[in-house]
Amino acid sequence: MKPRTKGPKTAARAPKATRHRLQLFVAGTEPNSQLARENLKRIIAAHLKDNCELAIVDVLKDFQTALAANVLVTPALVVDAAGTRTIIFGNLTEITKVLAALRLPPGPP
Amino acid sequence: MSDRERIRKLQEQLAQAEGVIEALRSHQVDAIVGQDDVALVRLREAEDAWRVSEDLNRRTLQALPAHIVVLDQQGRIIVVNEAWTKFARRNAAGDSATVAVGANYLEACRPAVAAHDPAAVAALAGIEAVLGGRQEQVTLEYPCHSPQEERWFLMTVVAFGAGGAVITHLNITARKQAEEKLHASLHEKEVLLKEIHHRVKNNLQVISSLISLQADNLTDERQRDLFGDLRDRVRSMALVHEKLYETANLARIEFAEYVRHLLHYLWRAHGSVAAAVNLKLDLQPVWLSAETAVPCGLILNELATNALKHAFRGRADGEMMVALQRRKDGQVSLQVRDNGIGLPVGSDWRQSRSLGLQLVQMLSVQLHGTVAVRGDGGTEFEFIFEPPKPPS
Repeated sequence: MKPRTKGPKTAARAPKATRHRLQLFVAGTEPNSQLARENLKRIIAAHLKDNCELAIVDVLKDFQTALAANVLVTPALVVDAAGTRTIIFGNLTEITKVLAALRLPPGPP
Repeated sequence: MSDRERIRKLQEQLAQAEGVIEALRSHQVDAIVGQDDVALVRLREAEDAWRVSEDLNRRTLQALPAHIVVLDQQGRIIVVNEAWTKFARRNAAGDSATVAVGANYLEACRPAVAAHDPAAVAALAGIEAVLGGRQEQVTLEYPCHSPQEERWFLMTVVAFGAGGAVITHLNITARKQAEEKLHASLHEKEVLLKEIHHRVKNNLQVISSLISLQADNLTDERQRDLFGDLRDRVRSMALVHEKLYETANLARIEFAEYVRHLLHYLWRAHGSVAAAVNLKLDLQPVWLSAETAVPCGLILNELATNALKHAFRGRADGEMMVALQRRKDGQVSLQVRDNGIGLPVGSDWRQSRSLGLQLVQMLSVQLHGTVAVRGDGGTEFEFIFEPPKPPS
């Protein structure tokens, strides 16, 4: 069964009204950063589709943004959803942790 | 900011810090962001090598057929391998949990020790010696028979880390059984060999008796003498076989003992003549193989018989000295000396027509030895040879 977001129905119909703002902080093409990119891509494809806004920040090019977001290590995923901010550190292999931060039920879509 | 808010903020920071630590600990961090720079964290290669080695250790432990347990200093079980767990499940007298991780192995051993099981007593003493730092390693072979089968184990206790120990129990039943078979087979061969020497000795003794019986029917003194010589030669050979089956090792005899025994026999066999000759012995222990002892015994027989028959002719009494020595150069010297009338002047013993002296020559050549003859107030024969080394 497809999990449904609790947002207003108009949100589903209007894909531009994203509920999740995601920021992935990576360090160039370092192995964990690469892994985090791929894992996040899979999670978005399976759970969020177009219902999110993703920005990838390479701290090797821009670390000020990371400092401003209070990101001390990379890879890190900053999730802004429903008015709260959660930061997940690591390569996002543990999908349940990511889903919890996204306020999505665990398990396959 | 209210207290509640401050606390919530601190809690958030704490949760974040936890997240950072966890990511670091699980080796998922690539870079650390500082106030003015970014530092890359490149531990992967070292970590991978460490992980591979750790994985290898773990798999090796699981793959080994020996039952392996690792104890801390107090004897608590901290690691076991698959073979250990399986064996414990099948064999634990009570609860297999008593020998699982977390249990105290020394406690698990105590019931068997209290029951005075000698293997358990020795095993516990060995383990405690290693745990106590008194010994680096202890090995012990012990029986551990089940009602269904005979089993043997080799226990090895090796000191590990700070006061711990690695204990392996390896099933060595197959080796033990092979050893037992080998021992049994060896014993069987020894019995057979003993039996053979016994029979050879008996047969030679029968021959010697037949010769004696035949000699009794002879009237000619010279012929009787020849038969007597023959009987003594056969007897000297029979004696080697007698000594062989009396000896534990069945391959070698103690030749000094043989010399004593043979001379005792000759003195009896040569009755009145020998009774007037005082025998002196100076013998050192020398071990000879059967192949060497037979010709050597014959040489002694010929020299002693020759002296008894000829050295004291016309004398009321005399003295014979037999010496056996292992010289410093490893050679063996056998001396037969008498204080009799000496060899005929100008004669060469090598040219003698006496079968006895011819035999001495032939047999000394066979043993790659030399015979020296000295005459000074009697006659002295010294036979020197190098006994072949026993196969190692």
